Amino acid sequence: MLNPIVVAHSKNQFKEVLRDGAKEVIVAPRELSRFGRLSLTQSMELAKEIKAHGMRPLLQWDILMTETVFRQKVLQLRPLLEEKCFSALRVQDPGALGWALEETDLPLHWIAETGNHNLKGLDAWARLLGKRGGRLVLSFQLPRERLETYAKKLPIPLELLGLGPILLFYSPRSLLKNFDSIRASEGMVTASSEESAHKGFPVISNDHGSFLFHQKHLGLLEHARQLQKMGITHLRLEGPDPSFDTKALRWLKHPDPKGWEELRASYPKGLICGFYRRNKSDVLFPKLKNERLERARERALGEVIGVEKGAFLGIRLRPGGHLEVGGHYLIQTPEGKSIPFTLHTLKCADLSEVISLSEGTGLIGPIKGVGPGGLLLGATV
Amino acid sequence: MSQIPELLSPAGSLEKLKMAVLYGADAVYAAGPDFGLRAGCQNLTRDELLEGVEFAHRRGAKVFVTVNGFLHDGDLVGLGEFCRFLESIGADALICSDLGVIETIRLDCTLPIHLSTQASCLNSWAAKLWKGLGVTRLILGREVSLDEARTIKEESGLPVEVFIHGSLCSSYSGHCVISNYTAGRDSNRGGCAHSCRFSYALEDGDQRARSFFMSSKDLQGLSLLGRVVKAGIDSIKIEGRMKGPLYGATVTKVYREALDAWGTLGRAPRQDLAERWEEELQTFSHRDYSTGSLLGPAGPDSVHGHREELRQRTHDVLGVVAEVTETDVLVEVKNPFSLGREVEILPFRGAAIPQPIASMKSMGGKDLMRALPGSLVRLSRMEGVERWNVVRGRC
Repeated sequence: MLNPIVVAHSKNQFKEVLRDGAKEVIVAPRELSRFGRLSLTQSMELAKEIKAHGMRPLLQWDILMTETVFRQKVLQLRPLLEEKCFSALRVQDPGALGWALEETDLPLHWIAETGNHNLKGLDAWARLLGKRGGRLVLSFQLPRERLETYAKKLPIPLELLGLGPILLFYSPRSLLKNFDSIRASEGMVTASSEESAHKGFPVISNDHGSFLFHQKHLGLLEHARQLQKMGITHLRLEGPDPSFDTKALRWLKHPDPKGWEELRASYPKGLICGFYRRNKSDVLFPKLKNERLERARERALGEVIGVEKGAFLGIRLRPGGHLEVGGHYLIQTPEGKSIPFTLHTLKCADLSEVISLSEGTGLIGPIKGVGPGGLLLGATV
Repeated sequence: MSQIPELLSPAGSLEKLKMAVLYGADAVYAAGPDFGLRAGCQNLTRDELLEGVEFAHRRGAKVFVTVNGFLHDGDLVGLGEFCRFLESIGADALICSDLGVIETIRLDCTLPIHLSTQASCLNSWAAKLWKGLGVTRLILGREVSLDEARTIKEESGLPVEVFIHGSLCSSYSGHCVISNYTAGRDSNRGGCAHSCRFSYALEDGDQRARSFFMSSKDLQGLSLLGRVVKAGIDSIKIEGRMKGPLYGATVTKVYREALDAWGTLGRAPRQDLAERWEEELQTFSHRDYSTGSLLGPAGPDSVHGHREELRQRTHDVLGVVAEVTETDVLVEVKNPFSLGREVEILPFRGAAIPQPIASMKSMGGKDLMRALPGSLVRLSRMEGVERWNVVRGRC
């Protein structure tokens, strides 16, 4: 069963989603939650109303907190918990998790949306939560094949963002305060980079800091059936306004391709499925370095650190490096050339001739086409 | 007297490791070929790690190895074996941020685990939780003040490490994925494209401003060392594995001298010394300095609201001493310089040694008028000059 979850920022919002099948509603107090809008009292009242309708109100405490902030927030949180009106507590700061494990008896939802991209770590979080573990909220950077594995192997219900904004950046600093000319209507502006193709990132600044989002939203609804089949238990809906959550809830009850296309067409933001199909965010790493030299570096005897045209190459010997007159070597250039040679003369830094050298800097005869940065390898390599 | 904290310097390569140790670091942090957060950095091969550990240990320094990416399942392959290798060569600790990595390490070796700043440990409850998960030292989130760091240390019973100098993320570390979506590079596996340093057009309806609104000023905590000592901070860390030799050498040397002065005097050193160190920290390119969050939450003035300008450096790095023979100093040239120019050798201890270049020869012994990058040149031997000293010149 794929259970949809929605966020309610007011009683009216809650009423809008009431009829459409959500069993759980996230209540986000502005004091405790990144994008919360409710006062603590309003949060409590809303939670009671949600409960009165036989649904589960979930308290969102997802800000990250330094020691000082943490202590303030715990004081604000306690009265809310004493009312016993929430069905679970959702946290993202490990401190909040540690505190909640010791100081409360509520089921806990551990928001593991940032990092947490391996089974070992997720399993360890699940074990830490133990019987209190109501849920793991998974990263939406996980591709479907990993989600499938985790759903099979993790002994805890799993939640995923199904529709909503993609948070890219979270800072505790007020990054818009320097701009008198930009007065962030309702706390939001858009930022467009002149150095990347991506434009129109929404930026929100509030009491908890500054948040930058992708200009498109994540839309995994069309994969809902697949997610359900693989064992994801909860899908979170965070549409730009409650009407889209309502549409999404209805669509989830009666999924059909046409309905999804209609929802997509009416949605005010572009929708992407992010890394759902595959996550290739490490494939460019080899290109950040010279691949040819990287491959050779583990086996290199030395590195060319200086060239005197027609006279000498200065070689800094690497750990374990050894040069011997008469030996056969090659130089791997940054451009990819391999230049073999036989060592006929070898000098120390003081220009005295030696027959072998195992540390420091050695001078060898010139080799055409070799510049600084080349790696010296044994010729058998 | 309060204890002087460990000075922990970056080592983006074996050469930088040796320089950091020689310029006074008590410990260095470096990465192996994989698992770290600097995919674009040269990092150290296994042989280099072995030599680096031996080099550091011979001089009483420690080597901490970063395995602080947020790794995907496939990335964990080989991690256990790599950690056993690190244990076998005597590495002193591992720096991690991912619980899956910590779990793997705890199965495969007994090395101490330092929690990376990437995990954004910000409060004492988080500290206690990580302690229960096997962490033995906390590298606190850079949003934590010195006073808060002291509380976290007291409450958790774990040693704490704070960043004292260098570039800062304005995001909570580990909570920025801009590069993942804009550059296709996972910022939490070493692919950060530094999108926060870009210029952005901010728009709100008709209003528009061009800015570098996410670009944090650099951290400089030299003047706060007294508070660092008083707070009982166990280790102060210098950021910058990707940075050049002038930066690593100078920052390590300055903080070493400042810490030693605090250790000797037990109070703030003389004003003229403090001014000299401050001047030294202007010798290399950097953004405007700030104290970050060390004294309290970083305010709006901690970012470059308008065009980020790298401060004009006072010096260029000209080279690094590759060898010292009976008669010569062999310099690996990084930037060009000519005969007659006054250079300064930055010794491991004490003031810079000024030296006009009266004669200069190629590595083979030919007279030169100008030294060019990519060459080795011979200068006349100077008193006090040692291998791995940085050679610099006023701009």
